[in-house]
Amino acid sequence: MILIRSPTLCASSAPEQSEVTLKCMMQKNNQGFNIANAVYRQSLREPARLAIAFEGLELSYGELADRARRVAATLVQSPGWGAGEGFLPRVGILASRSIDACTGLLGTSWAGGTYIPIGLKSPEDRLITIMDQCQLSALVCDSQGAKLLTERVLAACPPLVLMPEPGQHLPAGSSPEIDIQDLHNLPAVTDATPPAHIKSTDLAYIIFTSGTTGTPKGVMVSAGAVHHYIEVVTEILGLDASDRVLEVCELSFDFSVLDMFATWQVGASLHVLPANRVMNAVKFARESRLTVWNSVPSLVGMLNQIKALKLGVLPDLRLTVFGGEPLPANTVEAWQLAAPNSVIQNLYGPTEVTVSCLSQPVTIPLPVTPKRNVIAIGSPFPGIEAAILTADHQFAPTDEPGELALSGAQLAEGYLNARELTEARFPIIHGKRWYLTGDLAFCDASGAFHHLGRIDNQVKVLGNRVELEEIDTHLRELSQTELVATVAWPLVDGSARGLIAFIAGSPMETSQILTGLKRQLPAYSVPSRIVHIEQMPLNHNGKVDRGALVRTLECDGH
Amino acid sequence: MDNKTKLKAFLQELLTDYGKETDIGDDDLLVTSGLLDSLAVLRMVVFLEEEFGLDLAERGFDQNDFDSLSNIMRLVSP
Repeated sequence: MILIRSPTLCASSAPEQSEVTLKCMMQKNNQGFNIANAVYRQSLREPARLAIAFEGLELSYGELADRARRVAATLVQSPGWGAGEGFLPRVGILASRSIDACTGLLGTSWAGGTYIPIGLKSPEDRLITIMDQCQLSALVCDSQGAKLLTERVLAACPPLVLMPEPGQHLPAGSSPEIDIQDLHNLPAVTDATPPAHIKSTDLAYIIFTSGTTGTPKGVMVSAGAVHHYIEVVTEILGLDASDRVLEVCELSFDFSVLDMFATWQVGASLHVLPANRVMNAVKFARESRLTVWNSVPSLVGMLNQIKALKLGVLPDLRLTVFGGEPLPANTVEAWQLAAPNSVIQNLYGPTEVTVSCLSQPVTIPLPVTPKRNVIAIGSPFPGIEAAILTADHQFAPTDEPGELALSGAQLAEGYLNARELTEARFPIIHGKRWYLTGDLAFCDASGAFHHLGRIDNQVKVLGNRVELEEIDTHLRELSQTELVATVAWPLVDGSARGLIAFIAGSPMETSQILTGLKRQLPAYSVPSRIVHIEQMPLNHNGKVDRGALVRTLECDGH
Repeated sequence: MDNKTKLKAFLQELLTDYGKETDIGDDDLLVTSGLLDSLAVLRMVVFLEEEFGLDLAERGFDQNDFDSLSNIMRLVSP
């Protein structure tokens, strides 16, 4: 039997996790938690305070709570509400980051439901797959989401759909069996109803990520896990009510959970930059006098490339939070010149452990991972344990690489409708439930963890999690050959900016294959190029050698 | 090939990569319309630096400058 706390073995939990913390956590479990509680609380305390700003529109906490409450009342009164067997009613949010999306998900939770963001980059087939899997009670769209409601998608829609100005998007009487209501004109709610009680084990949200088999998998995150996360992360980051926070993530990327709920937890304001303006992020942050910047490091890499990171251009920024992919040291250096007054936190965590669960303050000299020139991922949050596992699930000694496993208060409940996969990825080891991240890492003598890459074929393309096997599954079918392989390319500072697919011996035209992929995969998962080759390089196990394919790209100087 | 023809050919190629084989007019919005994304903007920047000697360090970046063919023309031949 190996003891987890043994100093020579690589498992570490935050030192602050005392018996008091544990008691606190148990109390929380009994109390329940609603992710809309903070907005409700702020709306009573300081209703006029700014909660969210988007494209010139500013909403106070009072206004945001009012909008959420109207959505909640409409949901609760709909005939299909509460029909789910053994789970909370579920509401799909088909929207980009926007005020409508935020009111939709707050209203869902306010009514006692689970929200499910559905990315706008999903093609028709994927939208339908996700809606079918979720047994939705309702769907909330913003104006961009409403444009995706084709005849086929409408046929898969739940009985209630909320969207702004339905008349503009759908011809009257186009789908008589669906109750379509105007999100901007819902009946007023006069009493200040508080958010519904949600048990800690019930789901706050389900977020879909890429699945190796070709079907997206839904990560089910409980209200208790989000509660723990938000309390801990606001403490670690030191957010306060005077902060003005950047939101630059889609809701289907769980970094948005940090942006929204940590901001509202402390009564600060969220400043949403629409997706089609993202390259103006520095200008936006400067003009909106933001104090907190949250993004994937790739965005900063891109902003640096367009020379937007001028010396001292962001003097008001006091905190920068990077997450979602490895943080290159040179990104940090470029950022420190642009935002000289900002401290930097590097957060690490998979969706399965509620956004992030390890943190590394970026200090001077930079805490880099040897030979990789990226910043360490640091030490676990209070309430979280991290361990490095050997191939046979034993704890590995210090400095020895292995699979990073995580345990504790933020573990997801598992994958939607996928018990076997859940049991495989969330095994019980030494009597405790863990999540196996698939990330290769080691723990150094100081207790800091270092990320070394993946043990499988998952890549991050500009922060989006992509299973290369998922693309390959569709490629095989469309190209009518078994010999296919997708690789991440180009790589900039070790992070993927795109994808290239190789196929050998396919009778199909490239354009036909690409068109097929676009129908089945979100845009960021579709390779920018398909290369026909005569022979697929294989490794000694007879498997496709992705490394060899990457080397041919390097030689070609693409 | 004059500058505008060269630029238009490049944008058309970009759009093809994004699976949008439409012919673009001078004032059609390329990025705010959602036709192209931030990665495409990056490719535009690299292309304009190489082919037209664009220097963003001097001028400063504004996404609007890249949002239509005529805006880009103004950027490269002020």
